[in-house]
Amino acid sequence: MLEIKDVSRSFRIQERREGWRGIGLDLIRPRYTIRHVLDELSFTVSEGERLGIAGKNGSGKSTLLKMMCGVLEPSSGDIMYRGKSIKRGNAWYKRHIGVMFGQRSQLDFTLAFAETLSLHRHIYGMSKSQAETRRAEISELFSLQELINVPVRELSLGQRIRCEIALALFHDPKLLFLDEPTIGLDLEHKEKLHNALNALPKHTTLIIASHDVDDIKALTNRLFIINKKRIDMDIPTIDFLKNAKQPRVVHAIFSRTIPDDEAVRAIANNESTDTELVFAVPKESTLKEIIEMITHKELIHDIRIEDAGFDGVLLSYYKKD
Amino acid sequence: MRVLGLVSVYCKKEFYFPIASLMLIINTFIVFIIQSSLWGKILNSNYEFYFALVMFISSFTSFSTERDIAGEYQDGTISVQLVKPLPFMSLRLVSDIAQVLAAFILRALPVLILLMVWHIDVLYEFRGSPAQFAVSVLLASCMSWLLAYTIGIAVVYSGSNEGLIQAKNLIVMLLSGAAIPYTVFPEAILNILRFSPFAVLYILPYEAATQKSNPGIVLTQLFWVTVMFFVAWGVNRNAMKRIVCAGG
Repeated sequence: MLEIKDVSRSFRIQERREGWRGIGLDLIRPRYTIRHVLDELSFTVSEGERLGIAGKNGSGKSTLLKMMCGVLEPSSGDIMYRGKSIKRGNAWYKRHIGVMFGQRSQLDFTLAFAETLSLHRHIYGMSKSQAETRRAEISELFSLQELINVPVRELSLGQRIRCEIALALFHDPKLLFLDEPTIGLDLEHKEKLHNALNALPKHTTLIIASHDVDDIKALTNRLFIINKKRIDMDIPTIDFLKNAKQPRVVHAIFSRTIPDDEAVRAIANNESTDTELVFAVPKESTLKEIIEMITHKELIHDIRIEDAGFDGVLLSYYKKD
Repeated sequence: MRVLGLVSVYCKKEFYFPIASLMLIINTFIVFIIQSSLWGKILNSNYEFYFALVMFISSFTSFSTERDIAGEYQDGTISVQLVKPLPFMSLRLVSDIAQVLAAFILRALPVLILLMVWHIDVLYEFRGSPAQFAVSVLLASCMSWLLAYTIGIAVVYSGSNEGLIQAKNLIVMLLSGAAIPYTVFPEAILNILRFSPFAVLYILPYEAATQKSNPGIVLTQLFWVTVMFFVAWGVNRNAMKRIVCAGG
């Protein structure tokens, strides 16, 4: 359905020199550096697939997403949708996609959501009856019935995000791109949103770039990890969880302040406190091995061992480099 | 129908804040009275008709396009416009047509109503053909929008277009007849100005309103609008390839 062929992207960035002299020099002799963000990526996305893109800050997740949406042009390579190259301005392609950028609003804050929908009806050339049907469907899916006539600036963040995603789905796109869709949402709203997105028709392809491991875990069935300008890992999400050598996190609670010595400092991570020693151990470690790692065993009051969870897995993956 | 639908929604937005609309009407009156009486005293002549006309034309030529585009580019919201199935330039044009219609209602109409109530004889200075005047104002509006769009999208090249905006505002203020009545200029300079692109905005529409049918006025405007269209189109095409909206 969507084919990415040897796509690279780099940005030319002007360096700003410090001080008044720097201002003069920047005017006379500007200095540029080329930042390569993505390097020769190739992959395909099939219809109905739910693809998650994870990676550190600045790894190029959003850049990749923007290239797939046609907002940014690749420096080299091509992106094909159903066999045709997408270039910016390709109205045909843009009718097939819905996009939501978590940090950039598509909503007009002065207008009520219903009016923004009306604006989009005209932009996407939808008939009145078609628009009314879609409006009813998305209102139902995202529980927007009571919000539809409220000016957007009066909505809470959670309500606004629901409206943003509903707007992206209004013209019934085949491909839905979400960039950090749950940024700033609390757990309850996040769950509601995940439920709504999981209720989307099976033929809707979903591509999500997110830091949020809950989004990736709840919404995707395939995962990319972008690292060092490339797709470092392309794996079914479930396999990533199974195969990863998840470290476990040990919380050892002491009955009094932990004596400060070299052995304690060597294993303690930054979540440790005066009376709680927190450290990571390999997944296969036995209880005996874990206890042996702790000095001053006689002071242990309680011990708790947790799996690192998906975010811990990702974190350990990033830390490998 | 599609364009009309878009314009109507955008236009509605302009009237959401009644106090802002009211203040715009009051400000327009004050500026009109100050300008016309000040120049009337300086040049010992009646400038009510001139500035009423300027006010009327300016409601069709005042766009906030340059700063709107700069703002969208600088905060990255331009990316949400670029995912729509209409070209960015067309979307911008539609929202600006709505802005112009709102400005016409809030700026030009009140001044015309005031003049009709106050002393209608001023309006008898209108001696041109209404059709010629309408076309001339339309071309002035096109020229102004193309200029504003070109400067707006130029933000892509350096990250800021504030310098260009200031330069354009200064030149338009001095040379287009918007702030200084064009009759103030010596005949020799006026003849040059008349054929400059800036005359398209106020000087030529004023002449279209005060002179009997003169195809030269509309043809000069048409020439500059065509030139500006190709400039805007070229800059837009190039700028669209250079747009960088990195980051989440």
